[in-house]
Amino acid sequence: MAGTILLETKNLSKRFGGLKALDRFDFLVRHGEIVGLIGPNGSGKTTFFHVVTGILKAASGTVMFGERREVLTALPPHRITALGIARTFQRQRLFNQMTVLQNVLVGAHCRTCSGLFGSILRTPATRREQKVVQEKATRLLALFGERLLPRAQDPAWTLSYANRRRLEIARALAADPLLLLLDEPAAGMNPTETRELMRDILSIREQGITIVLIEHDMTVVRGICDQVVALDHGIKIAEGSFEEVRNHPSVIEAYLGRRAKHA
Amino acid sequence: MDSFAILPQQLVFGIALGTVYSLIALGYTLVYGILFMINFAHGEVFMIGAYLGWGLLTWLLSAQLSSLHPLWVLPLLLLQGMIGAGLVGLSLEFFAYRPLYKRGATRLGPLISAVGASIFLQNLVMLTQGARMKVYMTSLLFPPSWRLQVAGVNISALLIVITLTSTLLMFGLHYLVQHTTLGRAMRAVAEDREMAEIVGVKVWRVIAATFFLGSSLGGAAGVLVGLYYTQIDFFMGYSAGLKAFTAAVLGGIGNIRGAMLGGLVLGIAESLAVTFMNPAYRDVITFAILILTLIFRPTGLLGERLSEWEKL
Repeated sequence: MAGTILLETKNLSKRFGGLKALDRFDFLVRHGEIVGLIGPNGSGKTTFFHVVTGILKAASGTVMFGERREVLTALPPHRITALGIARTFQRQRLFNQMTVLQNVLVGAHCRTCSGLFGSILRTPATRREQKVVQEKATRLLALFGERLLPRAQDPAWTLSYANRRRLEIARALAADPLLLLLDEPAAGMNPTETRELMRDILSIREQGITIVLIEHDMTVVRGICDQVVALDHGIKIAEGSFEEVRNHPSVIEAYLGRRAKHA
Repeated sequence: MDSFAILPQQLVFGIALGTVYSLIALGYTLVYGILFMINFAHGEVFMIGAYLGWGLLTWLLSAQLSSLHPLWVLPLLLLQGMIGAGLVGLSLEFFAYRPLYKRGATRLGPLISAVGASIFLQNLVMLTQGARMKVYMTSLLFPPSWRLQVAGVNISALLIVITLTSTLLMFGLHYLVQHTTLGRAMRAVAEDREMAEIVGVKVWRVIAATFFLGSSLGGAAGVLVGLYYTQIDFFMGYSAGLKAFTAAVLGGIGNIRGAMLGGLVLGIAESLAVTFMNPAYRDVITFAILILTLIFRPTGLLGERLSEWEKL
C-alpha cells in the first residue's frame, strides 16, 4: 500500500465570481504520507478541502481517489465520506447541543446501517451495532488520553478550544477514513498543546491513515510533514520538503509581498 | 355545584387532554426542529388517524367476534392509526414539501403548500367518507362502569388509558431521539444540516423518518381523541391542530420537551378555566394563551431550539 497514490487532482479550478480560488491545481498524496498545505490567507487552501469533500463543486478538473481512482468531482459529500475522506474545519463545526460522545457517534453514522425500524424495534442487529460503535467512539476519545474521555457525557459547547479541535479530529476518525484532511488543527493552541497535537497526528498516521493538513504554524509543518505544497492565489507555487519550500523564492515573495534578498 | 368542588375532576380531564395535545404538538415541533417549517397539514394527519381507528373498530364490531377486549383491540387501533398516519405524513413530505425544497424554496413556499395540503386532505376525507359525523362505539370497548372513585373524583378507565398511552408514546419518542442512531441523526440534521450531510447522514431519509414519527404520534392522538369524544368528522383536525400548534409554541417550538410541557399546561389551563366560565370560551382561552406567549415569551416556556444556537 505504502507509496501508491491515494489522492490526485488534475487541473482543478474553482472561481468565485472573478476570483480564482483554485487555478489548475495539480496535487498528489501517497498512502501513509503527511502532506502540509501552506500559503497566505485566501490562497485557496480551504477551498481545496471544500472541493475534495464535495461541499463545493469544481469549475473544472478532476479529483481521483483510492486504488480504483474513483472520480469524486460529481459526488455528494456523504458519498465522499463513505469512500474514505474525512475532514475537520477551520472554524469548528461540532454539534454543540450534543454530548462529546454523541458527536463521535454521529461521525460514525456513515458506517452504521440501522434505520428507522431498527431504531424503533431495537432489533438485535441494531443493538450489536450500537455496542460496536459505542466501543469505537470510546476508543477514539481515548486517543487523546485524559483530554476528552472524562468529558464524554458533557455537551460539546462546554469544551475548551483545544478540546473542540481534538473532538473534531475524533469525529472525523469515526468515519474510518483513509484520508484525513485537517484544516488548521493547531490554530489557537498553546505550544504545549501544539506539541501534543503533533504527537497525536503522528500516531494517527501510524494507524495507516494518510493526512493532508493546512497549517500556519511552521513548527507543525516542519515537525511532521513529509511533503509540503505552497499555494498562492490558487496557484501551486512550490512543492517538496519543508526546507525546499521554505527557501523557494516564490514562497518568500508570497508571504512577504516582495522578493527578499536571497543568501 | 360549587366551581371549586369540581376542580380536582377538571384537573384529571385537563391532564388527559393535555397529554393528547402534547402528542399532537410533538408532530409540529419535530418537523419544525428539522426543517424550520410549520406543517399545517398535521391536524389533518391527526384526523386521518381518527378515521382509520374508527374504520377498524367498526369493522371489528361488525365482525361479531366473541370478545372484544381493549387489551388487544386498543393496541391494534393505535398501531393501525399510527402506521396509516405515518404514511400520510411521509407522502406529505414527499409530494408537498420535498419538491419545493429541492427547488430551493424559502420558508413561505412550503408553508403555503402545507395549507393547501391541509385543505386537500379535509376535502378528500369529506368526499370519500361523507360529511356526516362518524361515531366511535367506545362504550362497547370501555364500558362506562369501568371507573375509579378517588376522593370524590371520577376517573374512567378510558381516561387512564388515554393518559398512559400518550405518556408512554412520548417517553418512547424521547428515548428514540436521545439514544438511538436515528435520533442522533435527527439531532445532527436539526443542528447543522450541512455538517450532518458531510459526516454521512442521509439528510432526506432522516427528514422522511421525522415526518413518519411525528405523524404517527398524531395518528395515535387521533385514535385516542376519537375514543374519548366518540364523534369525529373531517374538520376535527382544524381546531385540534391549531391547539396543538399553540401547545408547541407555548413550550418553545422545535423543543421536544417543550411540546410535552406546552400540551400539558394548555390542557390543564383549558379545563380549569372552563370550570369558572362558560365552556364556550374554551377556544378563546387557548388562543389568548397563544397570543400572550407570542407577545411576552416568543421563544416559549422552555426556549426555541433556534435561539439556543444563536447564543453560541
